[in-house]
Amino acid sequence: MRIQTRTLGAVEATPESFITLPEGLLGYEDHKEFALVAPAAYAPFRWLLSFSDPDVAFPVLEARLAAADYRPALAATDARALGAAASDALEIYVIATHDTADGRLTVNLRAPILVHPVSRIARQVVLSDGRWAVDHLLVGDPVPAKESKQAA
Amino acid sequence: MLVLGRRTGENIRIGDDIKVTVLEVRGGQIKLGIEAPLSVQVHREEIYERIQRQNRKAAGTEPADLADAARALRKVAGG
Repeated sequence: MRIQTRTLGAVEATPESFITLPEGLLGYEDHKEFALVAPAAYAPFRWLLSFSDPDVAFPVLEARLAAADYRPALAATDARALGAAASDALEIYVIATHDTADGRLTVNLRAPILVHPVSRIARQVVLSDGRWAVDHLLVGDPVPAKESKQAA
Repeated sequence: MLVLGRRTGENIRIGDDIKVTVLEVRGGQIKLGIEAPLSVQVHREEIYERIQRQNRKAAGTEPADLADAARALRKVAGG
């Protein structure tokens, strides 16, 4: 089926790409049905598209491509909500953010999206381990130029 | 705002299925235990807000910018 998006236009999505986030994403709690699509132009990134709002599209990346040593420890409540014993059994994606001001692209390792491979139920979890950054740098200058001049 | 005084070991019930227990009070810090259904996500406020902001920013990503970043990433991966 086709999903209308504002920035990507109409995107073809097969049922295998459908994902349900029963609690939505933080700040987007009303969005529960998504498709995870992988248009070639954006590889290795994928787009997580909301069925209910053409303005809501998240770029995501398979976690192992974002950080080789990434091993998120899953809280017991999150594991139960997803019906999985450990994060090894789940697909893990991190959300990418592009800063138009400095061109840096970061990924959020602190709050990955975990997807059960069979049920396709997913959840954005917040890891208690503070060593995983909300803005892990992937593309761009390690020190953003504006940071040294003005405090945020 | 409802204000309730509680001592260590005492609880507060929110609705039928949320229980907050005061586990420890020391100095200016308080340790809380929270029991809630799986559908209720519990987070420290500052991290919750930070992730909300990050999600909003991500949702506004322009495809052209992502395509550029994807090219840069493929270049790195390809050597």
